[in-house]
Amino acid sequence: MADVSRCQGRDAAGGSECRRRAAPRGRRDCSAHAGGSRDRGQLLLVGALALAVLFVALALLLNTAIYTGTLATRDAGGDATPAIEYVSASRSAGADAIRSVNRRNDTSTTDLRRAFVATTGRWDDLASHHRAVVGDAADVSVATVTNGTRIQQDDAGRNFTSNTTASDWTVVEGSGVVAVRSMRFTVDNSTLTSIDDAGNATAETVFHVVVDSTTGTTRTAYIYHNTSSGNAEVLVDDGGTETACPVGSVTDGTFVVDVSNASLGGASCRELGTLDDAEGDVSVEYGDGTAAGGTYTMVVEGHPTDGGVTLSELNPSGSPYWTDAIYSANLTVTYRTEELDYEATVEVVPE
Amino acid sequence: MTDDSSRRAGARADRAVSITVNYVIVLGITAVLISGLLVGAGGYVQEQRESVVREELSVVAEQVAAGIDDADRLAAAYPRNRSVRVGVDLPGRVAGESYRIQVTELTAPTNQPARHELTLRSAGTRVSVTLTVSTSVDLDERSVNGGWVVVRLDGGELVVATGDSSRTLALADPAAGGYTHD
Repeated sequence: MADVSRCQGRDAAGGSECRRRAAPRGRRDCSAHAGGSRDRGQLLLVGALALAVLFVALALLLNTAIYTGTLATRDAGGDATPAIEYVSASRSAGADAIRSVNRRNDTSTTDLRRAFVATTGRWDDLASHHRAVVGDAADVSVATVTNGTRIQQDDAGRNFTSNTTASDWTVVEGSGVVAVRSMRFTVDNSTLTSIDDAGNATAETVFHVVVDSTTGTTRTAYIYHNTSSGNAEVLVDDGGTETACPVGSVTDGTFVVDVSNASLGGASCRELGTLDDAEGDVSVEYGDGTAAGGTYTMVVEGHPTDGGVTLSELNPSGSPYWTDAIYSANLTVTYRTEELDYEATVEVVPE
Repeated sequence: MTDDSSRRAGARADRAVSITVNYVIVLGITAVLISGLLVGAGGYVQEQRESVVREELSVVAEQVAAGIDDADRLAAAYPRNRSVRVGVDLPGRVAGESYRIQVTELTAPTNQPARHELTLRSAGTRVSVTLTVSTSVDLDERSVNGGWVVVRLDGGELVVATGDSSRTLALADPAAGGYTHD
């Protein structure tokens, strides 16, 4: 560019080489200068272009970096929490349904099953609508139902003897009895045998429940009144170790021995909870049934129609009696979103 | 006039020399400056590219880990007859490069959750990012390309696999329960 301006400058002054010499030569010189300047411009142009490409690449990288930032704030994958909550809610609804069905229907196992499936279905319809609002598809269906037998005594004025008033008797036994749950006694405090030392409970005439199983330990719970402490107590013998738990509170002369909840009159008794941890062929026996009175209830896995369940010392109606019940059920829970497909079979066993 | 003529003649002789030298010097300096600028800027861009790729791979690795974590949680929550599939929608390329996700098992102490290394490596710049995940359910050792990835439970262990090309979970029919209700 400097050459071009110099050439033009001389022309303007009137003494230029271009004018004094032959015009064609001067034009050649000028054009030659102009050609050189174009070459130099090209170098700059190429450099500028290459730099421009680099800047574009840099801009693209900046774009990617910004996208990364956006990506980092996004939810990754499907969130597992709603699925787990739904399964948990289904489980709890299933347990409530079993309790409700057992309480309201005791005509036959078929009726119980039908009622349970209908109840679960109604819950599923409502719950899946709630999930559909957020775009998730959920479903609960009953896979299997396990028959059970509920054993109960409603007459609070009766002692814990058999239908023939036998003091030591077998409540339930047989190869079809696989497990026991929901064992609860509401004991009349005034009917208990009084002893002065918990160590004598096994020797004295004290009401006791024995849960025996072919594959586990035999566990026994003795219920008595301890004159030393002035409280009702339960002594749990897990086949070697004996632990005594005092009663929490006595209301209207009664207190609840809740084996499933491991509590005695509202007070925690951890060892009591192990009483129904029996599997295999389970049998439940009462000893010295005359030494305590009140009501009780329990559900065993197994039903007389399926065989292997002996309930001969219970009445068909009137205390103590047995009825059909649902022991447990398996629910198939499906939960699906755009990014999650979950299906699980959950076992529902009310406590 | 005579002085002017001789001065002009002298100047012309100098000018011929200076023009050549001027050309060489200007071209040389320009070439050096521009090539220096290009090399420097090119290196800078490459450096930034690697940095961006590393950054994005880290984010992607975290997302894969989150997907594995979700699947692990679901698989461990109710361990009976469960079927778990968690889709993770990852970018197919990072800064224009494809990448691969590699799962490698690490030895975990006894009675500790299984530990695995997630290594994400870009194809072009060979940048790799490693993340360690702990799962209560075992994780299969394998590698998949980035993109739509599905973490599924297969035979008691979690598998990180390439998802369906539709970028959605191909759903099976709902499992029919044993009983139906009205």
